[in-house]
Amino acid sequence: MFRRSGTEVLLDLEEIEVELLNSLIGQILELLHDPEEEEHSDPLAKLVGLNGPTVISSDPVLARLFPDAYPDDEANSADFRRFTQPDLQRQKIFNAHIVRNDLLAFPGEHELDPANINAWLLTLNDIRLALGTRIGLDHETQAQLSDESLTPIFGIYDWLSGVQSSLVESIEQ
Amino acid sequence: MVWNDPINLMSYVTYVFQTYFGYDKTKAETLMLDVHNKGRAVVSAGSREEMERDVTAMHSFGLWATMAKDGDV
Repeated sequence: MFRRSGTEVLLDLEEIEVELLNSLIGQILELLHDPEEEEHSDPLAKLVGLNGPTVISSDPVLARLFPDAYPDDEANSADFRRFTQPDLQRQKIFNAHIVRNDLLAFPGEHELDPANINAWLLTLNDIRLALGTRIGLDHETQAQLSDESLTPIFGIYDWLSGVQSSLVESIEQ
Repeated sequence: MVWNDPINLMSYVTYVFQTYFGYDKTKAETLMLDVHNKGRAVVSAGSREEMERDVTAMHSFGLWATMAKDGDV
């Protein structure tokens, strides 16, 4: 969990938590694979930033991370997606790499580089969005999260919520 | 327009509204609660270019945001 000490933001992780985060980040990176590495991409389109996809992903997790910007307007949503998704995807990959690199210092309690806090916040959120979407979390199941009979994946999700919550508390003004 | 979803933490959504839009905590919390209770809330209004920028930012924070013309909301 995160805590604030003076101006420092500290993170305390056990070995098993570090392993878990590394594994989840690996899965996110696999899901987001670098758009630059797409096969058949048109170099000219890439140069002018027009190489993004035009339709929402059939994968519910990617659809949640990159939703349509104009509901009920396919053409505008397609244009928006083509312009914005590759950059968003690269940002998410970049942030995940920062977190993975920071994790090398753990387990134990360490201060986070203030410059990396945003990457942590966004990556933890991406992981929760991915996991929550994958397990089909809705408002009803959320209310039962403290129920111990639920599968371990709910426990992981619940733990991540606590970690992210402690980060928000540590950086709030 | 930001839509309610069961995953994003209320404290996180409030934090995003504060840091990105520069809203004070009271306004950010009111908007977050509007999203939470009414299912969606208009959090920003302006030109199409400005709104595309805001929606992109909301997507980068992982919030479910869309835009619509005034009158279609």
